[in-house]
Amino acid sequence: MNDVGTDPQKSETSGSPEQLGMVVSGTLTGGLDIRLNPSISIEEIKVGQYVTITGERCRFLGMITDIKLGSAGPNLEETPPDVADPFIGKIIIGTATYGIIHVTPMLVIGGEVSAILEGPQPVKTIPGHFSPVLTSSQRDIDMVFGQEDERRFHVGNPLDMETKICLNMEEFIKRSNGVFGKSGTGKTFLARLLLLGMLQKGKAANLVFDMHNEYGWEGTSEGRGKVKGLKQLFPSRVAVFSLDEENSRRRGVTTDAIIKIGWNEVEPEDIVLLATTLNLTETAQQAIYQFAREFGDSRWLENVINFDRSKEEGKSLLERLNIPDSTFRNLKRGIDTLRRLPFLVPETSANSVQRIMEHLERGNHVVVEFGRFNNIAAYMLVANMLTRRIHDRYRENTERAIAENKPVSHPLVITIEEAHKFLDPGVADQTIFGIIAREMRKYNVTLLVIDQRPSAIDPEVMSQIGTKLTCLLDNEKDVEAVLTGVPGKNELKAVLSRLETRQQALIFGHAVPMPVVIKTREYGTPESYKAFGFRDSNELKTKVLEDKKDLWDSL
Amino acid sequence: MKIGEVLEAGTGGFLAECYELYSAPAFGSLVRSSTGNLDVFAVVENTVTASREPGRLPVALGKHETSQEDIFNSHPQVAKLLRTCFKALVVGYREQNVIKHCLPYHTVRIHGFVFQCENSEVREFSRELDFLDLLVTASTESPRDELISACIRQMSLVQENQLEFLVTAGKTLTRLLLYENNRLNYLLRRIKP
Repeated sequence: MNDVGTDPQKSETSGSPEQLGMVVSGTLTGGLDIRLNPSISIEEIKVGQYVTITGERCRFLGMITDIKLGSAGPNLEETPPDVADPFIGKIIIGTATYGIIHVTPMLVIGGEVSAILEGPQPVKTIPGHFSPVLTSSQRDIDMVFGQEDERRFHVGNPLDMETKICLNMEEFIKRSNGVFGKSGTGKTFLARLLLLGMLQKGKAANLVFDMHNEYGWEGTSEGRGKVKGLKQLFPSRVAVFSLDEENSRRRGVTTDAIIKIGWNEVEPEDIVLLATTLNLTETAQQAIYQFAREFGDSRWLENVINFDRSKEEGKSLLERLNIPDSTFRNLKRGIDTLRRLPFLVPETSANSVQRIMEHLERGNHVVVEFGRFNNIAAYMLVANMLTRRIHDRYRENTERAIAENKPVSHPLVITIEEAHKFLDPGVADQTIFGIIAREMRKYNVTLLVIDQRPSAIDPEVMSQIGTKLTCLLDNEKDVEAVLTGVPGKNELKAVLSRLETRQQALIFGHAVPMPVVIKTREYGTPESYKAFGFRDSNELKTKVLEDKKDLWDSL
Repeated sequence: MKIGEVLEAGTGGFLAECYELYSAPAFGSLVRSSTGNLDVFAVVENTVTASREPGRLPVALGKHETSQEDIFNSHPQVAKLLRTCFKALVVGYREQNVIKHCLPYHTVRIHGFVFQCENSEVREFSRELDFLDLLVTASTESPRDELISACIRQMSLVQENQLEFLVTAGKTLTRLLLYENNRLNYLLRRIKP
């Protein structure tokens, strides 16, 4: 990397990047206006594309964030020339009328001493008037995002380019991350790619709460039918836990364990978190704590479920606890909703948390499938309960490892869908996910939140999210929430709201040196599986035979 | 090809008489004369054929003739009493083989020969079109925009790629006439192939 950038005039390209135009005006904060060369059709230009600007001393890498039409004459709109005539059109277009592209400069790539020694640097100045602007070469992009290696995972390609955009997965998992986008824009697809990346390059264990059974065994892809899940690609490194044995069996999923949750495992906070979903009043929530004080954290639910208020004993208890009858009925109705969930059983001998921990400690991914119980109450209850316990164990282990000066365990990433339900400003400080998002980086536990309503997530949590991968968002509030605190926010807004509805995402934040729009990597074809290192049984058989032959030959 | 001689010279243009009656170069075509070591290029802007004596107008002679040629055949002196003159606007000069599209620092000389430019010379001169700036601001006897369009059309006839030349000329005019939209539109229509 150090040999490049010493001479900004020197061509550093593989292939020949096209000269787009020249800088005509701009500011550091507001971006640069580039007048397009007449030979370039404005319709070839797209927001989100990269350009390289060759200044006098430095080279700058920027992103196209807006496109405008300009005209040189003052009266052109009033008395337009007869451009229907191809001859006149050819003359006027590019001369009296021209295209302007607005570019937000992002990085200095070469020229400055620091940029030569340390690689691309944040931009602190702008190129001078009439500096030539070219489409970014593959080499420029590689210089910024790096090439695929043991830490970097290929997530996609920049628009209209073949270059690979790679995420540094080690950096990625150091912070909580978010995948956002409205429904049907490819969040699940992108999240699946990231999980694969973490599995291959991040050396992180991952606990995935898979609400719609998309990640574990197989998922669905619009237009392509079924696609392989993590377990099919990497059977030895992924464990699938299911809450719905029957459903898993029917779908032909090889599960590693079935999760059952005992009444005694449900703590008051688990239910309070579901207050909105279960329609519990404020006083009913208070009543939960009163019951817990009376019967203990592990016995309270059993007592509420079995409570018979027709008996004298029951009535006197409610009176003693000062719980009005209507409040109790409200609580009971809510609890009954949960009671109908078959995985919630009076008692269970299997310690699901322990088994999940064993997998995670080995660095494996654990996918918790919800089967048919994909309602939000079940999802929140299970995700919250399991995560709290796993988080406690993880914290203990990490603290012990630090005290004993041993290497700390694998980083853990917890993946949750419908994240705004857990990270809503009203509950974010109560749920374990809020705590993880804010504090757990120190204990090597981070979140991967997948959500379609980022505006409903607590802003404090949003501000802690390191890298954001955003598919198309068109709600003003959601766009605002995702881009809060990001430099060049207004320009990125234009980019974000113009992403295609499928297979495109804007990535920005901790793990990438500059915001980038990608066309996500192919997933779901046999070639794509192969690129992830998957080998089907025939290939494995051939490989074994070859290895055997090599072994005997060498003897 | 030598076509005439300079009768009156100024910095911005000159008046020349043709050796042959009615043999003036085409309106808008490029001619060359010289002064010292400068070749001066000019565009033919107005051609007049009239009596040699300003106060003596020709009289009608053909009442009993069947064709115009017969008048000259019957009255051979008439051709000697008339002359064809043209006015040319200076648009550039050549010095030591370098062409410049601006006014020369000397005027052409009286009785300096005037030549019709060869095709290769026209191509060489019109490699750049900066001379159009002189034409769009010139004061002319004939309508100025007619002169500009005629000049571009004349030059385009000898180009290897006529359309490309016309488009380039159109673009140059567009840049020069950004604030005169109607005039530009008119000119573009006039140079359209």
